[in-house]
Amino acid sequence: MRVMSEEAKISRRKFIAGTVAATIAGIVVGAGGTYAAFAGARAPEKTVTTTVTKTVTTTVTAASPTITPTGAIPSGPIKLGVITIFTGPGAMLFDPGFKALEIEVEKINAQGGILGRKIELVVKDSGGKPDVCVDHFKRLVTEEKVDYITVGATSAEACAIAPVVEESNVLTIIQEGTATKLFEEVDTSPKYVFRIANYDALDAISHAIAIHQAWPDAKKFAVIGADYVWGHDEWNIITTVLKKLVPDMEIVAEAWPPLFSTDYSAHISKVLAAKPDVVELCLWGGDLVTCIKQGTGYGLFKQCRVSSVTGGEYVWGVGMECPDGILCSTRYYFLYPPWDRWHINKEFNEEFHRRYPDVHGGYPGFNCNSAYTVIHALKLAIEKAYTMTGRWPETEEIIATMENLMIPTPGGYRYFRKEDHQMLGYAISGFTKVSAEYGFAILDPVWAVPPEEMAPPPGKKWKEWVESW
Amino acid sequence: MDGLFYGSILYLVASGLTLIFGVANILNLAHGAFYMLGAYVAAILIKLMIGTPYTVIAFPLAAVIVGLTGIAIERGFIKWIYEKDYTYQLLLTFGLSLVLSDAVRITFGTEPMYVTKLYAHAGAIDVLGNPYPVYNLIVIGLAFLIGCLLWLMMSKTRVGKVIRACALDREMSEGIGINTSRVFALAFFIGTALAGISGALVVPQSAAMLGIDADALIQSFIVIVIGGVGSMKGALIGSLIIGLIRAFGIALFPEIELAIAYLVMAIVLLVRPQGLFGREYRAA
Amino acid sequence: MKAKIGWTTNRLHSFAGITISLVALFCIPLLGSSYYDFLFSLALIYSMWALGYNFLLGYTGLLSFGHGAFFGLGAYTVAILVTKFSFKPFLPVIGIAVLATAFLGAVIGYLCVRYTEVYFALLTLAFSMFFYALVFKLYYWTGGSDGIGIRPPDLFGLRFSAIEYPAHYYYITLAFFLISVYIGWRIVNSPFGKALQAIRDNPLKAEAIGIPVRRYKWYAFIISTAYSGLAGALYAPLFGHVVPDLFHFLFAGEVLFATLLGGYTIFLGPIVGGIVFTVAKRYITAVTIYWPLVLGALLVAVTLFFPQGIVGTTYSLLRRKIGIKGGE
Repeated sequence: MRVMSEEAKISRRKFIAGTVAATIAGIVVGAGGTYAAFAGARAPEKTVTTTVTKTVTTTVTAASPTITPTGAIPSGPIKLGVITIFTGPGAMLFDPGFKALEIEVEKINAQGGILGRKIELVVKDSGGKPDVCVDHFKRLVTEEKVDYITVGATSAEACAIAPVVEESNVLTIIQEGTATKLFEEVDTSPKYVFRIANYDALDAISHAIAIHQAWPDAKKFAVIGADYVWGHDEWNIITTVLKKLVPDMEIVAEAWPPLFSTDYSAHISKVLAAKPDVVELCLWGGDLVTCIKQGTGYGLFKQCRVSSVTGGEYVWGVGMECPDGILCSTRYYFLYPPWDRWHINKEFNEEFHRRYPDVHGGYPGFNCNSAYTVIHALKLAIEKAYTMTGRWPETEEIIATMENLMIPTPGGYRYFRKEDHQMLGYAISGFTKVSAEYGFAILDPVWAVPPEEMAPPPGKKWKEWVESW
Repeated sequence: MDGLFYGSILYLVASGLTLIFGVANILNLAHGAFYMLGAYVAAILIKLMIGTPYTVIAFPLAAVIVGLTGIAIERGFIKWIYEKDYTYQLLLTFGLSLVLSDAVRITFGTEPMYVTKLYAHAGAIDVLGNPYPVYNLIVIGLAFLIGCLLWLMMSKTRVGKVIRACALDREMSEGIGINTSRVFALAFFIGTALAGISGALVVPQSAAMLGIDADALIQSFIVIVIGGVGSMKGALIGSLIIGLIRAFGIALFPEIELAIAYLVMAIVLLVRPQGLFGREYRAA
Repeated sequence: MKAKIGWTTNRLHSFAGITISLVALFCIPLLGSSYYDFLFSLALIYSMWALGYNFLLGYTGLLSFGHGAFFGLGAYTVAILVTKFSFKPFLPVIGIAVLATAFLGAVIGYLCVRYTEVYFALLTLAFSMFFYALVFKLYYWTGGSDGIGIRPPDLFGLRFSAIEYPAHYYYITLAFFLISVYIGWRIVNSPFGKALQAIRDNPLKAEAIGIPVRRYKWYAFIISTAYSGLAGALYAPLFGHVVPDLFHFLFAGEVLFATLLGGYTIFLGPIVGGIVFTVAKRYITAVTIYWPLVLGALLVAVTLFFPQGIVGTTYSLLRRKIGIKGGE
């Protein structure tokens, strides 16, 4: 273990030294302008792409809490349909997110709701099943007549529901459901569908770049990945990017345990036998925890460097036994932006921790940030549209507003890309380091990359994008 | 070596399933739910006791709690359908599995429950130059021990003889004065306790989480079919075979490893429906 | 004769009952809710599935855990034809799906019908999980765990998308449903159907009077898989999306549940069971997040207290109260 932390220290130092100059050729896109509004919240020494020039053109319209509705506001509450996952293995991801949504809705309602209308949640459990999800959606629209809908969805659910949404004309905000193909193939010009979480291609591209920056000498890569579309897709994108960055890289081993396995010993042995430089763990939830625990027993972390594309919050489950120096990426990290620099994040975390000290390790995860964003994006868009229309805005007006909105979220400012309704947020990476204060491994150092420089531009598929570098 | 650990856990789950089938002639579809219950109960107990020397008791205690739940469910529900068509038996246990696994979710929440310290503190030893977790060795040893105890109990003790008599011919056993109802309850206790202990043993190196029930159930189906439905020896051999298929499958043919196990199950059923060690099957 | 609703002795009652049900089924789109069109399309699909399933369970005494795979095969055939081959004419697509499923059913059935009871159940389970694993793995063709999203096929150039025109789709499903029920009814009352029931009641006796038991079981298996294939083929455009879960044995558990809920000893049982199960399940999932608990408890209650199912129990009650004949 001591050997490991030495290594980690070295690589971390190397990394920090390298970051200032480390702008990856070809990925500098000048779209980061709007981010200047938030540039101050980023720790400069930990920022990868500090050389990007930014101009201050803020589009932020802070909703003033003093709006007093004067125009025609319908009486009665706003009905927000919520389809999410409370049963089955997916629940561990979406149940905390729903708790965060409840907290925010209570808070908004306590302050008088949106333009004086209280928010009422109509909650359904899909169990992660696409057919149930579609069924709930239809029922919510036609029978329960909700105004707007948010779906905490798996990839399959998102792909199944998007076409139904587009024909139902109901504003629907998807949390997670991060399949790259949602906006690349299934719903290429979305109108009513919005998606909050950073999607798979963005996660994988930023993670691959982080791997290369952290360990530029790594050539031999291996994966232990969850055997379903997500695992394979992420690995495919990661290796494509790495191939671009390290032309002589090779994939030495691949092991694909099924989802929710309890035993990874054979997979770990297989990967170790190939003597890779870096092992990527394309796993999430309990799977990642199990694999890290068992990896420790098999000496995985002594023999190679390990990275994980979603690791950030899942390593909490390993507790104080988590090895230091695992390179983890995530879509939102509870300590980023740092609490002293970003009040929303502090407040959000403290509130969640106060109410649910035992849920999800006691701190909100990326789905909690998504859930927060759903309700606040809706609130901001409605209030802003109202200032223009002077009455309760139509769905289409809310959509038009939402397409041009900067939304302050616990994870920093985020916005929906107008063209494909994909929200972009910081791509976060960092090295694990056990923290006695929290009782689990936190990411330290942690750094964030503006997504514009990573994400495929609208209308471009990830493969074309990576190959165009 | 890797297959051995997996096989050990599988053996414990499957031997419980096969025992219940062998004695009470019921294919218990709720078996996976008992396994999951064992994992959650153990996680709670270990968390309560961690740091004290009593932590080890958490495992047998979890098994007993699950076993008692098993008896309660057998007395409350399953008891009434021994005489009925197998269709109802399958359906009832299927319904019970839904109820039980949802009850687990309602009681313990949707969060996976992790247990730290135990697995890491057991450490690792060198096997042929590679580190191997000691915890796995303990589990393998324990599975072996439990297997021996079961065998001793079934073949040497009076209880075992009574159980075997019941399994062979229920009416005849009743005729010679055996309280078969009580024997069935006992079988359920042992069977579900086995599911419980295997769930408990998985916790330190993995987690108690939702969804592990279905996988455990299907895997043990494969095992008992290969070994022979109702045969304890078969469960042992079956789980070793599946453990090996898995270890080699991951190394050699990862793309179809999952499908291969099902295919083996189907082929065994077709060629030798009684399994490798089952009682003879009389085709209709 | 277990599976007879008394067509000859109670012609009047039956005629009235059928007319009322038909009128009710035709009137569902008049409720004016696109959700109910959708829901009842699904209910009819489950009915067809259960009706076919009952050829095996009710008429031959074989419990299969593999009919999710045949349902899934029907659905995936449609999805793959429409998306990968851009082959869109509705009736041929459905026809191919049914034939493909029946063909696979013939192969699997040939292997399975030698066995009975738990062995048969486990064997069908093994096959269905085998196909589940394949569908999960063959990403290129099946989309893996994300499944395939499909646009609806065409029928005579009419637009009848289940999403935009749910009422149109409902009537198409209803047409298939009525044809299925009619064919099913004819099969049950044919000499072949009688022979199946003889096999169920006493296989040895059936063999003795010269019924080719295994071959007839095989035929029953094929028929039931064709029904499953049809149901799956109609399911795919209704949801516009198919996933590998359809192949899982837990999904096959739903048809078993539906069949027993209705009552598997009676021709009408699975038809009613399919509709009631679908509506009840969707309703329960919509009102409570504890739906697995409620559904499971319902299942337990049915097996313990109403083993004859809804239709069976109703017949018993009716028989006792007003002396109607029929049922058992």
